[in-house]
Amino acid sequence: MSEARLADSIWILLILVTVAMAYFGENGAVTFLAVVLILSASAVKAFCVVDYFMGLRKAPRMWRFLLLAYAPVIGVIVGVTYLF
Amino acid sequence: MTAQADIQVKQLPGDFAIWLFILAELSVFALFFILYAITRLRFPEMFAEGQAQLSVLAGVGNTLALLTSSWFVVRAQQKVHAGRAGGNVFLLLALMSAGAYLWIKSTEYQHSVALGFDLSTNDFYFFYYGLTAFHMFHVILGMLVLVLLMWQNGRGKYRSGRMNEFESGASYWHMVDLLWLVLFPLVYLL
Repeated sequence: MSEARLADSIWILLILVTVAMAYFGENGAVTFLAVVLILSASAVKAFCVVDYFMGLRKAPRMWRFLLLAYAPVIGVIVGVTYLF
Repeated sequence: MTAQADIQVKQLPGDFAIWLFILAELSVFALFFILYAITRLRFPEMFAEGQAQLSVLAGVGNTLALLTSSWFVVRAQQKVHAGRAGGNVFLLLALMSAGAYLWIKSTEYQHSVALGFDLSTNDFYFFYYGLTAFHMFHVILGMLVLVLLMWQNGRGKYRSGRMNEFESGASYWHMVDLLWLVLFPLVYLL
């Protein structure tokens, strides 16, 4: 797949996940499972942006890890606050 | 093929300095996100009531506008790197998408203010206005960066092997997108 087609595919995926996430968030009750699912979807979107839009899939491991870890780490901290 | 050609050197796109700046920005926002989550824990009813007043549709619109803008920047970068025409067209489309974000956000603010909610209403609105306005400031700064990239690209400054400045600007723009991907579910959905 060419880089252009790859970028197009990632964009379509991001749009679909965003719409699905919003529909789920708007129509479902805010249970802990819903929180986990929404934060996970957000992390997947962040992975796509970091690896394919920022182009860090070809970057040094440490930098890639730092950026990829951002959304999941915030997600875990936020998720934990919903346990109380 | 030589042995040297086989070696793939992994490197960051753009200047190293922009990545230090991006890390600093992400850290500041992370602090605000965590403070928001802790404050929500203390006042769950207040935050639920505040969120119920927000338009999820507007939040989705903001997300789609920023994701689309980031996608256009990727396509612009690919065009410029390949030495093909059309880079500035994609940058212009990216700016228009960012403009759509600003329009949606200003409409949201007008609606909230019309309902009588401002920064001093309660902790939820303090975070809502504070976080989203701080993020919007980054969007506006990023739009200025995109205009600069368009101008320099128009002058023929960028081509394969001379993409450092373009990649730095694009990376900043994608960071703005990345921040919104965390902010949107936190403030609008959860």
